[in-house]
Amino acid sequence: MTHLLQIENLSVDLVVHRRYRKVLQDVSITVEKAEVVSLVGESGSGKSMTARSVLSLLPAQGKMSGGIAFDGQSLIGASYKEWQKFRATKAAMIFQDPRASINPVHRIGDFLTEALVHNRGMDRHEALERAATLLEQVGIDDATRRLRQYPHELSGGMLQRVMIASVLLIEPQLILADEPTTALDVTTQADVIAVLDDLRAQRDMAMLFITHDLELAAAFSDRIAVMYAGFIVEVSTPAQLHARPLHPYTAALLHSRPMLHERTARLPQISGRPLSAFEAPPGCPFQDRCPYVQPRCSESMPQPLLIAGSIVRCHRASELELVSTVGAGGGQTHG
Amino acid sequence: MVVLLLVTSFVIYASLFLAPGSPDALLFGAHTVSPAVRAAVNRQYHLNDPFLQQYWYWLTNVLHGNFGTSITYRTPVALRLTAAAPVTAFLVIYSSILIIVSGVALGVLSSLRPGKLDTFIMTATNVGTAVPTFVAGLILLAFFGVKLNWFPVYGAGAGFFDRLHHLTLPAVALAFWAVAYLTRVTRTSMREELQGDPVLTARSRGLSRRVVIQRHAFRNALIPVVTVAGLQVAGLLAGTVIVEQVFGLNGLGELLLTSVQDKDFATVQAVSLILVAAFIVVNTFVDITYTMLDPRIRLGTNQP
Repeated sequence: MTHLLQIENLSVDLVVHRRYRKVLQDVSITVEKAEVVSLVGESGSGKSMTARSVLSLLPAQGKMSGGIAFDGQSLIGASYKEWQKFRATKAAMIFQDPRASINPVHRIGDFLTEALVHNRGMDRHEALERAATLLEQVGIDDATRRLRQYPHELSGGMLQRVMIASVLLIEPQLILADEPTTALDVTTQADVIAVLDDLRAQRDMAMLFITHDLELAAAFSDRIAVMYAGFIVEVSTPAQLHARPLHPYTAALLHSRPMLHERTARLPQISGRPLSAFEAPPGCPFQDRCPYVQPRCSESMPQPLLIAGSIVRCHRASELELVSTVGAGGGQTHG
Repeated sequence: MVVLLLVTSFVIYASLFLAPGSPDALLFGAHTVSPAVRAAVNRQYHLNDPFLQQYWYWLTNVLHGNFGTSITYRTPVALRLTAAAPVTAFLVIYSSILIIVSGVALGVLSSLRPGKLDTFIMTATNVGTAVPTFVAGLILLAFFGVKLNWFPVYGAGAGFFDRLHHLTLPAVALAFWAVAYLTRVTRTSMREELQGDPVLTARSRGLSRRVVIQRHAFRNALIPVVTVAGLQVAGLLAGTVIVEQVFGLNGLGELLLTSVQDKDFATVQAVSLILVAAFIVVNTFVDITYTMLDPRIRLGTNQP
């Protein structure tokens, strides 16, 4: 079976302070047609770089190795033109902060139609009409007036809807959403996500959703991949992840969430600080913070293991009985 | 803008009024004259009237296009202006075009070709910004004018092409420093935009390199470039005083300088006023361009 997106053993090095530093190590993940896969992790864990690698949009002098294939076709070694065509037709990205990412000097209408007009040679008026229809679908009324406005005249939530519309207009098979709601108010987050997921599902588009919000990821993704220090440490379904996390890091993350139905004086925390891939010691990157650490953890990075349908990279995954919550609190309904 | 012009006209008039040397002393020089003649002259030029009234006479005349009569040369100032202004205007416009076209082009080129070309342009502009206008003028004059004999070294020429030929060296000298500076500003601005989020977004959509650079890097980078270019063009008006000296051109700068030396009050006032007016016009033009480039500072738009 061919996967829509297949990333295999992807490693990325970026130049930081004139030196190459690892940001992604041996990342493997697949996304099927119309599937939503979430990448969850702390800042600097490599979530965004994974998404940017898929479009070959690394910062200057970034190095990429490993395999990326789309619909069975390898993209590694593709020419500039081929990448350009891939970006224009197959996969599109929603960025974190629409206020920064949408060029402030052009009208909303120009932003929305730009790709259609320049890449596909569509007539401007036709493109504008399509854009107006889509704006209404993402929940922006008075679309024809909005098309003539500039980005600074719209609120953050509206701008992110514009961004979503711009991606849907291209009708890609894969949407890469890089923390699309992080820059928004909490109240608008839910609306924007709902709109995005609805319209995506209607069109059978797949999505690689990047977030640091476990609950959000659990709410609407088919699978969740947890990243730590440039590695994917666990891939699982939301239900499985909450019921029985396999990696100590995943368990610790789940522990440190606030609960709706319980009062906790102080949320549990993971001791130590998150590491970047290049700072990680040899062996498992989580060893210094892991309560279950053993000597062999510093010897080698565990290879991916398949346990009960989940993929995990931990030497002790099969022996540990991890739980997602402290105490015996009820009220966990996710899925 | 009108208010600004009015204020500057007052400042110009007042500062000359307060300057040492009086018109009648200049007129009569060492001659001894009878009090009757002196009184007649004073009456003719309103020299005994209160200061504000004198200013008022001058202002109303200027507004009617009458800049008075040169005391030293006994010719209408307006006549001298119409002889000098076209030379300076030609020089300034020619030089502005050189600055904007080559400054922006070199800056963009430098930002898009990191490596040898960028290093070369940066070194050259580093030297360029350090060369004063009169030094640039003299070097150009010595090399292209005297040694190679490609360009005339004196005079403004008659007719469009002859004038273009005559004014090339002065215009280049005038533009020299500004081109170097504008190149650096353009390069910095472009590099910033090329690494910015809008460019990343544009690239992620598979737009061609040309569209990304034109619509998302260059277009945004222009905003600071226009500000600097405007200041430079306005500054050229002052720069002409030096360049016209070096190249022996009878422009406004030259006229201003000789009039100050001759204590030719009416001419100094008129030239200063024209230079200030031109400065204000350039600045207004820059402001208008600026609001066209950046919708965020457009007046009268409100949040929804």
